[in-house]
Amino acid sequence: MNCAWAMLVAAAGVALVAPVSTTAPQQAPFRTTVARVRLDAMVTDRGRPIAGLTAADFDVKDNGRTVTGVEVEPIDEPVGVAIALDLGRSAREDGPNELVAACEALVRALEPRDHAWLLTFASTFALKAGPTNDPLLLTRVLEDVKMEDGSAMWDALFGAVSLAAGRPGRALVLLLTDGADPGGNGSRAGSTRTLDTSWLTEQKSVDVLRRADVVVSGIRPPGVLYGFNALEAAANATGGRVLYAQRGVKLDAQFTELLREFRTGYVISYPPAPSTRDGWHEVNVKLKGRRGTVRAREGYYEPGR
Amino acid sequence: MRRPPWVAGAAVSVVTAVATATIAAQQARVPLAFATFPQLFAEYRTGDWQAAATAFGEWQEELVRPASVVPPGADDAMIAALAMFHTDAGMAAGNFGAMAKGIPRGAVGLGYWGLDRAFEPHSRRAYELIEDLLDRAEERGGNRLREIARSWYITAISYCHRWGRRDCTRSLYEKGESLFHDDPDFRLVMGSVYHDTRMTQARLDARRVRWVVRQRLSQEPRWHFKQAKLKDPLLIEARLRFAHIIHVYLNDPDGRTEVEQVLREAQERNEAYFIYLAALILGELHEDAGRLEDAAKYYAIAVEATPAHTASVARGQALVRLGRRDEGFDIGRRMFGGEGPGVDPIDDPYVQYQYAQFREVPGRLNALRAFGRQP
Repeated sequence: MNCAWAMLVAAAGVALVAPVSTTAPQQAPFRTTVARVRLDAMVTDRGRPIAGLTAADFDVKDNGRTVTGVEVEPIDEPVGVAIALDLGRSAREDGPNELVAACEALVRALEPRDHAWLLTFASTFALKAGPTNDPLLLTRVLEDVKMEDGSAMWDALFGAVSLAAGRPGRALVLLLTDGADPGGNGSRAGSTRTLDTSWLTEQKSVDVLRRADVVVSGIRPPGVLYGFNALEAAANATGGRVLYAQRGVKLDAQFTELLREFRTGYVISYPPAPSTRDGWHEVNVKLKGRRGTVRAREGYYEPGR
Repeated sequence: MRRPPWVAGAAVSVVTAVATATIAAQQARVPLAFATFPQLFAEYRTGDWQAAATAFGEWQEELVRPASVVPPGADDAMIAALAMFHTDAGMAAGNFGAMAKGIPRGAVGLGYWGLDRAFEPHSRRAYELIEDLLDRAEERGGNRLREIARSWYITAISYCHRWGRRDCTRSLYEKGESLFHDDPDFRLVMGSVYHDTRMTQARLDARRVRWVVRQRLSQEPRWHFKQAKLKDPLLIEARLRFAHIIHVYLNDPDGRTEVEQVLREAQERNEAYFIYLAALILGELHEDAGRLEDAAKYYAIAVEATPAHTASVARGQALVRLGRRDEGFDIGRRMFGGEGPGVDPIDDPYVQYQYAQFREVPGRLNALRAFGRQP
């Protein structure tokens, strides 16, 4: 694999936040009476996952305070992946075709124990398949997709998060889009070619994502310019990341690596920190005394807030 | 209407050919891909209009106009049928209202006064034929022909607006205003193409849009909707759009009152489209004001009226943000119903709302076809 690509892919991180049992940190969240905060974290060093870490290796801050009673467990679970594929011509003239190809590569990277959904979105969105662990079904559906106009990305994201959040186990939402908000229809007659038809806004979406036990990652097709956009906002809120596919690199290998990393990593849990007025807790996780990068969600809301 | 000099000669042969082809088409079907214009037109008027329009839509651009000649003595129905044949052919090819070959979008020098030679031949020819009908209506004072022309304009503007054919939309808009400015339905479509239905108070605030700018942004659609309301006080869509705009842009409390009234009336008439939209707008209105609980109640009304995506997204996100996470995501999951391979989502009124009167296009096309066809 291309070296630069390997670093990008291997740095992917995932995280979840929820109160869980102290005795079963890998179980689905919100299922126990003893509440603990749970974070999923991906730890890498120069693009390679670091194995064998313990609680002593982590420095966890909740609203700026170092927390005690941290427990750390490695994870290796099947995952539910909701794939949201952008078919809007607004992305780029040739973008959607590359995204379809990228999506096919992702489907092939699924393992038999995983399950997946496929949503497509343009001016509106539709569930094309799922939940299924049949890559052939997903591939067949992809053969029939057509390019359209518009980009209801935020609405499609809510749909994908709802699907992924409803099953036990770890959940990943993958957005295959350029992530650009093409803007409104303005005030000129007929200027709807790049209409963003989302009802949701970025602000509302991020607020929802902060309350969901789902990681959102994005894959942007080759040729899209780097830079912050709406896709990064969604990924940052959930501890996900955005991959920039490059021309000439095997997408299959990239996606296989991305999913493998999502399956591995660590569950960090700790007793709840004191309640705050708005229920929001900003979380910061770092390694102590060693080099490495930790990716985890930026915070969580207390249950019921 | 300007006609090239060769028209008169060609017209005689065309009228004969059309009559002959009508009979011939009934006796022995020519494969439509190889059919001549008279054969295709005969098939359109009397047989499989869809197949004929599709075949005609596949013709090379330069062959379309020379073939399409109005025979002398053609009656109103034949001209209307020919206009609709071109309209259907252009739409079947997916390029009705697009620019002609070699003309860039928004080219300098466009007059924006009807569809001239800058536009692809089917839409241009249809427009010319509709002009013919209007001339006839003026000569004879016929309301029926004027009504056909008006409906064609609304259809063509909505179609071009839906598919982002900005030059077509504007050209028909400008010309249509001179013809139908007194018509409430036409005022409605004029306002609708200028109406940014996605805009909310929160979005305007986030962009720090000044009051003067808000006035200016909303001025044109407000004016058209107001005129439409004055001319037809029962025109529910004009009232809804007007109320929506004055709430979003001007924070006018009358907006909320009017949308509530529209919701009540729509519920009385059991009009799901307007129940959905009015409830969604009211929910957003409450959400913008920080009343998320009230918003969720209105979103529930919208979901009940039509379980389409947008209302489900609105209700689901409101519940999640109220701390009712499981309930909210459950709404999100249920919005897909039986969707999957081969099962499409139901039409979402919120998406239709953004495309002016495009939802009326199939019905209007059917009515327009019915006038000229003789199946």
